[in-house]
Order: sequence, then structure tokens, then C-alpha cells
Amino acid sequence: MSSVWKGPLEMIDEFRWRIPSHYKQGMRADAVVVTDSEGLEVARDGEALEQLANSACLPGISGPALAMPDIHSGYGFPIGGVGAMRLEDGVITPGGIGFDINCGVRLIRTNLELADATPKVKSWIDRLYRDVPSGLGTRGPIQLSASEVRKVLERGAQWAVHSGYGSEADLECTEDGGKMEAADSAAVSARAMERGMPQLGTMGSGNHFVEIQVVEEVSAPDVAKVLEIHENQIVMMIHTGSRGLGHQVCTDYLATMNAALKKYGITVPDRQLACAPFESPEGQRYYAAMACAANFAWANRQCITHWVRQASAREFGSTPESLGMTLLYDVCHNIAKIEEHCVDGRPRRLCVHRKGATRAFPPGHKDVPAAYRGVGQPVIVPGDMGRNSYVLVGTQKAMEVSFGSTCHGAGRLMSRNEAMKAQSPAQVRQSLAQAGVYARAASKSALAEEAPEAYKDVNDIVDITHKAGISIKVARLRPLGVVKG
Amino acid sequence: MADVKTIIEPFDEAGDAAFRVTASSLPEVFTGCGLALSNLILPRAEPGGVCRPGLGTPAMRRIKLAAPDLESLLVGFANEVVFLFDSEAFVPMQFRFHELTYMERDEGEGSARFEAEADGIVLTEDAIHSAADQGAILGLVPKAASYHMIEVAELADGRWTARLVLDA
Repeated sequence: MSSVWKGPLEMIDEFRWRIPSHYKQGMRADAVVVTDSEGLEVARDGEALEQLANSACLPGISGPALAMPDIHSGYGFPIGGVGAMRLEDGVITPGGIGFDINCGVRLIRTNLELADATPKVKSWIDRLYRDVPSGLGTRGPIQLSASEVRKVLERGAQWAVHSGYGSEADLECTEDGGKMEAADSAAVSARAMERGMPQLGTMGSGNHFVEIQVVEEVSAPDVAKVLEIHENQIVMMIHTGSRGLGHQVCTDYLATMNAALKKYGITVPDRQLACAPFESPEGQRYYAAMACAANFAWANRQCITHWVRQASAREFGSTPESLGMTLLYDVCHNIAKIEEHCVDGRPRRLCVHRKGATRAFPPGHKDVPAAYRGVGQPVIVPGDMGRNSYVLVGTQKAMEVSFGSTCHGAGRLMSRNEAMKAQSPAQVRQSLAQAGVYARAASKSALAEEAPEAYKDVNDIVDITHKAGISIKVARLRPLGVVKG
Repeated sequence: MADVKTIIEPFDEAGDAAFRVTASSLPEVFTGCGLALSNLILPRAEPGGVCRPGLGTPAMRRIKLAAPDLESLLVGFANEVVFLFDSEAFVPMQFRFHELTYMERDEGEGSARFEAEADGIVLTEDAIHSAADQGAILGLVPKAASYHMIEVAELADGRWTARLVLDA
């Protein structure tokens, strides 16, 4: 079903390309892709650019609809899409956020060096595989009453920390402190809670993972010093989201929004972009439910952090504190938030949708944790399991050109089917081993579906964001071992 | 097993799972979509085929849905199958549709509806977890059905066709 974009693309500068608002009827703003000329050729393949143009059709969009360099086809918005909507006359759409609400990633430091970890990677990964619930149909070890469930949805990572799964310091290094205030559990269906609550503290399947990584190269030593990372240091990355609960919230409200289109006289070019005015009852209820799912995801990553710390301590016959297992930062890359941005020279509050895009606030921003305020918000960018991941920081340029946003990962090149046809799981495991990466996977097909070749090279994506100035490279990480869901 | 006239064609879309189903009637198209989805979750030799014994307990679930249009009804049906697996490890093996109706009108909800029974199995925890360890039974488990490229239409020759894209 693949197609190639044949519409207009006007060069703004070396790293920005415009689809003008006259491209198709209904566009209310231009659409802009942040990438280089080579990345643009990749972006042309499939429906991603048409989806970007579609997202510019949404009522109340402020400035251009944007796509980050890891743009690829999604549902509704493309993956890598950013859309900022005015609160007074703009909409909110589940299609601009995604099914896995607050899918995100966090990075945990250790005081281990490469030489400490190398002999233990296999047994360490095997232990993480046993101790961190992952994969399909997985139920977690946390049993909750109905009233406790509501606390998770309304308090997020704060619930987890106050229940013994972490420390206050973790919350300080989590976007929004791991809790969106707008959450109202009454907006979440019983079905969503039924589906999601047994899964709290579980990684899930697909592209979710826990990785042991080494800091391979530091490119901004002064910033790295503030972030307390250095070359040859071992770090651990966790990538997961809101599990079945988030998917059900999205599913429930897509139906609500499809019904709302007629009520509010809104026309959208794609039903996956169904939406309602942000200030409408439907819009407010979805925002409250989305915030609950976001909180669930933060609680989920916090609980998994606890299992990771416990498993690692057992592996080294130590404690998480002695191993220096502190949280560097936690970012979400599927979410909508109310933020203040400068529009036409004036500050405006906007509902910024990021779908497969990461917030990248600059030095000095009030929402950057005090410890990092001098260098900017850390941005954690996972790559594929055979190549690299990155630590970046946000910039003022991102505030000026991308509503304080940057890339979220590598972006897929192959569908899951194509990837599975290309290599067997055994072949992928073997080639990873040759590259020095030990891999375990919970589900039958995960290794093949998530093979490095199925993704763009994250090094290229990050290079573009760095050169475009929407985030700055701080450190390149290399995987040593991975547990895939 | 799906009706012999039912054609299920998987295709690649947005990295996830997608298929087109063509059949002689609307209930058969819905049945084909349900079986194609079920076969993604628990791969068998063919959609609607049998699975090896001992994986779970036979069970039946009733599904009753209404929607403003056929596309929403199909999305709702697929999401019901996803929900039944995610919440209770139920995998449907066969569907019996009753009263699948569609009234074309300009306004109002509930113009498309059905009642169906799904026969299948509830997988045991052991089956799920042994599958995880041994890579033995579970395939790609979609987490939601999308409206992306959704289509339900009657063809000129009187057959029906549907296109469904699933988020995995």
C-alpha cells in the first residue's frame, strides 16, 4: 500500500522544508518537516507527509504543523508529529497523541564502569528477564484495590514512590514530576481500568525494552558533567508506556471524538484525526483521561525502575544506592500538554500535541529541573538494539522553531511483517551477539520485528537534530544487553 | 474455518498489521476480519483453524455492538476481540453473527449493529508464559484497531469487502 509523496516541498533552510497551506483544501497552516535533504527523501516514502498536511487541517492550529527528523507513517498524525493548538478555539485529538499514551523512556545512571559490567552482562540480562515482567498477556506482581487504582491514575509516579517504588529524587528528574494535575479518574472507563491495572509494573511487548548500555562517547563534556555521566560508565534505559490502559483510553475517546465531529461541525481529512474543541466537555474529558493514562505510564516506569534496581543489586551482591542507580531523567514522547510558547512575539498558552516527539526545553526554562536548569532539559533518545541511543539537551532554537520539541527515536524503516520476513529471531540474536549485544525477548517474534535493520540509523536522526539546533548531542550510548518485551 | 469464498489478504501498513477481507456477505466479512485478527494473536495454519490441544479452556463470549456506521462497527468489533484477549486471554476461533444490520440514514447513531457469539478458548497462564519463554504460540498481539484506511463496502458484484489496520 506504500506511496511516494509528490506534493510540494519548499526549502526554508538547510534543515526545514515547507508544505504550503495551499497544498490541499482544509489546511489552516503550513506544515514543516525538520530534516536534511537525505532525510526528506526517506520521509517521502509512505503516507507520512500527507498525514502531516492533514494535521495542519485541525481547527485552532497555531503556527505550522511540524514533523521531527524521525517522521514516518502513523495513524492520524505521522510519528514524529508536533501540533500546537490554541486553547480558545483549538481542538484536542487522540490521533495527535497516539494509542500508547505517554510511551516514554528513562535513563538510570550507575557507578559501574564497562570493565565491571562486561563479564556479567549475560547473567545480568537473564536476571532482568526473569525479574522484570514483560511480554504478551503479562500480569504484574502489583495487586491493587479499586480505590488504589484511582490513586495511581491521579498521582502517577508519586503514587509509586510513596508506595515504596523509588525516591523523591526520582520525581524531581521525571517530566512534570511524574504526575499531570489534570487527571480525573472518573473520565477513565471501567474497561480501560480492567484492561490496564493488572499490567502495572510490566514492560509489555513491541518495541519496549530494558537495556544495559555503556556511555561510548561524550560530545559535550561540560553538560555531561552536570548530568553526571562520563565515558565508559554503565547506564540503564527503560522504554515503555501506559500498556492496555492507555490503548483503551485512546480507543474509547476516538469513538467519542468521532461522534463529536458532527456536533461541533468539524471536518477532518482522516477519521483517526477525530477531535473536539479543547474547551468542550468532550475535549476536557479526554484531556483528563489522557492525563490519567500518562500518570499510569509514569507509575509503570517507576515500578519497573524498582525491579531493575532490585535485580541489579542482586546481580552485584550490592544495593541500588551502592551501585549509584539514580535517575538521570524520564521523558514522554506521546502526549499533549498545556505549555506557554511565544507566538507572533507574545506568550500564549497552547495545547502541544507530541506524537513520537520529545519535549526539549532550553536552559533556564522553569520546567527544567533545578539541577539541570543551567544546561537544558535532558532528552533521552532510544535507538535500535544493535546501534546507539543518545542523551541530548534542549535548546532555545527548539522553542523558536519546533515548540520546544525534538526527535524521539530512530523511526521505523520496515513494517513488522517485512522485518520478520528479512531475518529469523535466531539470525537476529546471532548478529547482535557478533556486535557484542546479548538479547532476550519475551514474545515469539520480538527480536525479528525489532531487528536493527528495521529502523533508520538513530545516529543520522540525532545528527540532524543537532545540526538543526533543536537539541544538542551530549553523549552517545551503546547497548551491551537488552530485554525485549 | 472461514467460508471458502472469504479472501483474507494481509498487507503492510505503518509498520503494524493490516488486512483486506472480501466475502460474499457482510457477516462473512466481519467473520473473516475476526478470524484474521485471531490468527495474528494465535497463529494457526489458516484463519479459523484449530490450535494444538491443552492451551486453554473452551469458552464462548457474546458480543453486542452498535455504531453510527459500518466502519465504526468494524473498528468496535476488532477492539472487542483485542479487549477479550487483553483482559481474559480469550482467543476466538469461530464467530456466529446474528442480526448484522445497517440502515443508511443521514443522522443519528446506532444505524449499524450486530449480535454475535464467539467460540474460542481462554488460554491458561501456563500457556501464555511458556509461550513467552519458548517462543511457541503467541504471535503479534494488536493493541487496538484504528480508523486508518478503514473501509467497509459492497462491491459491484454483490460481495462485501473490508480493510482494517491494527496498532501493534
